[in-house]
Amino acid sequence: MATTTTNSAKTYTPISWTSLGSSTNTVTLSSIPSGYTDLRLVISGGVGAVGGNFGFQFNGDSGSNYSNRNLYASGTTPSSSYANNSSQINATYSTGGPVEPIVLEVDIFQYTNTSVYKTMISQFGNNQNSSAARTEVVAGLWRSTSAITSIVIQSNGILTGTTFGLYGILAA
Amino acid sequence: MPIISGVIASSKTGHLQPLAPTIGTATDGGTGTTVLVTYTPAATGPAATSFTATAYISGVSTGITATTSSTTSVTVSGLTAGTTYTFTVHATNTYGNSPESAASNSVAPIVPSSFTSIATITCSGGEANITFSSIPQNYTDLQVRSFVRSSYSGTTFSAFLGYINGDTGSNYSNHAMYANGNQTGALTFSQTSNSNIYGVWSPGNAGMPATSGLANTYAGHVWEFMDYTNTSKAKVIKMLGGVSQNQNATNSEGIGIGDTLWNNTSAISSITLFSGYNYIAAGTIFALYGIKAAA
Repeated sequence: MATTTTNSAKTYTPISWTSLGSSTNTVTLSSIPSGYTDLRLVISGGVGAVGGNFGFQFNGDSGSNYSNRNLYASGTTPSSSYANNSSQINATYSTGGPVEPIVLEVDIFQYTNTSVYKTMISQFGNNQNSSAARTEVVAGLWRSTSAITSIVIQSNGILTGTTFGLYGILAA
Repeated sequence: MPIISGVIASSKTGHLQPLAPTIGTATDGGTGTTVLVTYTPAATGPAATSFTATAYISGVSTGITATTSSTTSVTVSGLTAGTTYTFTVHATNTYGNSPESAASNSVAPIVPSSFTSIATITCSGGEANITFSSIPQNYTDLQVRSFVRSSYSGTTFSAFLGYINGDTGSNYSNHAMYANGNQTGALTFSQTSNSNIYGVWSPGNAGMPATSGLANTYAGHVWEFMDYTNTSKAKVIKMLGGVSQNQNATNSEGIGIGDTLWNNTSAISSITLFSGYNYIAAGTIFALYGIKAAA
């Protein structure tokens, strides 16, 4: 028998906001509070070099515990890919030039639920008014039942001014 | 007249006025334009009859103040969202004002979210479907965030379907693109007309992992029901969802994005969701939210 809970409470709560003061390959969002149901991370900015996966790791785990399923269009060509037993979830692959405006929205479900592996889905887009534009959606899995307390985002030269807004969404 | 002159002297030096309160904390007031400032009145000296907080930007007074008789807190209004302020508080009685307290911590008012939780359905397993009913009509859009798994034990993974207001007629059209199982390279596209919402069509694509899959793994979906109370429009639903299971097997996993048109102008008052194969597994969670646009 399903159980229904109702309320009417404001959510989508800002947790942290990070704006890069200098270019870096790694950004860590740590001490994530546990009081929400899902997390949403919104990244806006750019990367400085071709070939930078936007990779995600949780709780500092760099083992082969990640997999991802990708669906994308690069330029005018649609395609898909997957990766298993990876050291990170690859949420996209930057294909542009040295300045690449991007937006990436990531939903991480049930991030404190210690009975389940952690699933995330993401939407990515960059449009440089050129054939290097890319749109991508991804499902990723971290095979761990640990509650997520930190997120590491890795790419290839994340540009100064790139922002990382982390929000908590609390179900009724 | 030494006593009288003593009183006058005392008044001029502030001894009949309250001592400065001790500043507490300044926190966002939850409206986008207000901050709640707390303080503690001086434990000694003349009693205060009111307390006034003053807002500063970079240490310079803005001229924005708020006065109260409360001995614990005051809400300062008229602030600007996203601007960082500090605050001081002084106490007042009939003889005048105390000195200002020390400055508070910095705080910037935050525009409150319009994203509101409405209902959550948690499944114990074996449910044929779930329904959000009596959906409030006072939002602009609805969002359903689901974390789902099927009790199906075969190798074909189950799709995730739904219908609106109990309508199971042939009033839905669906379009989706997805990648499935060990598929690489070319995508799959689908266009269907049928009796259900297929936010993303085809088994396995953004569907529910079945019990034959990786243990403890659930798919994540975000469904958005746009302008759901507008009785002048047919209703559009967008869905993004997927699951990775580290397997590659056909239908074991998928990612997809799609949209559905419900060819009906009725306001949406109920949403029913179900697994295309067998039943919903224990631990599946559906959460409904309302999103309100600016008036």
